[in-house]
Amino acid sequence: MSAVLLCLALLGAPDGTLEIADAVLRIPPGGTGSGALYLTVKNRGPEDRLLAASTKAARHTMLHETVIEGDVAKMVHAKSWPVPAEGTLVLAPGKKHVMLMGMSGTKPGDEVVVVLRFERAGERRVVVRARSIAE
Amino acid sequence: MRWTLILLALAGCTKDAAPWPAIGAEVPALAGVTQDGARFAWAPRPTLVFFGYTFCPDVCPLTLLTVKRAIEGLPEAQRDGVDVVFVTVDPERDTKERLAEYLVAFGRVRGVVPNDIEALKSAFAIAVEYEGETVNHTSVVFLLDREGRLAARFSHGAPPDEMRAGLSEVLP
Repeated sequence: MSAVLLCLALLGAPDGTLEIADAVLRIPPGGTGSGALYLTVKNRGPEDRLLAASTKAARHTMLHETVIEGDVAKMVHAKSWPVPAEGTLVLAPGKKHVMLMGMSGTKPGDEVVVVLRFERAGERRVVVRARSIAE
Repeated sequence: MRWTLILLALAGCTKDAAPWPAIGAEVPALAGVTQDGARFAWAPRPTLVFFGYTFCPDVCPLTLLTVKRAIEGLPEAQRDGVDVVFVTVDPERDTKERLAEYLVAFGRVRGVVPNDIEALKSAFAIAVEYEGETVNHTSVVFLLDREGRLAARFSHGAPPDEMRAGLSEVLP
């Protein structure tokens, strides 16, 4: 048993360690411009890190966190975010989010595939239905 | 000399003691065009003003949504008595055509492309810093009364109820 666990550890995090939930993709009116992806990563294993997100629906994506300093809203670019062991990483409106830049052609109701890349768990594919940023 | 001093004193009495953005200060002039191509002018009715940009994926749409919900929660007879003004701080990308396409999703909002961003920053004492494709900017919603005086400021994250309560104070 311990040998099996050791093998799994060497291969990286086993399937099912991370669960992606509550994914919401908000796209701009008219379908062009910047969108935002929010979701929750539940981790049932050791600490991991979200390194990047990619999708064909956008020219470029970045991990961004909205920070209010004084009365000024700033977008802080992050290289990665930790997903705590046995904990959660929450991306939510007004806080951490994946910014999708250069969106075009996506309409509310469309299914969009986003690939999340984690340090330990590797790539995870998420299918999320787009909704208007004004909803 | 004495008359000059008296006139200055009288002028001081009729002007605001504190400049924008102090509560009670008169809203500065704003030179620009709306999404319809018209020259912008403040309307003589309670107005919610926000400075942002359409390529903003998080703060700006959340704020415009909050404003929309605040107004939707007013009695129907009062809703048309409120003006909403969205001033872009990204006039290079936010053309009036783009504002028209974007703002239609947020209800009856007048978008403004300012003629001079530096003059806008100075007059309204707002922060605007460009960083790649994003813009750091003041995220306060300003409420003007019918006379164009600043009645309240709502920080980012203020709920619709708070804005609605502020509007109720200045609506007839």
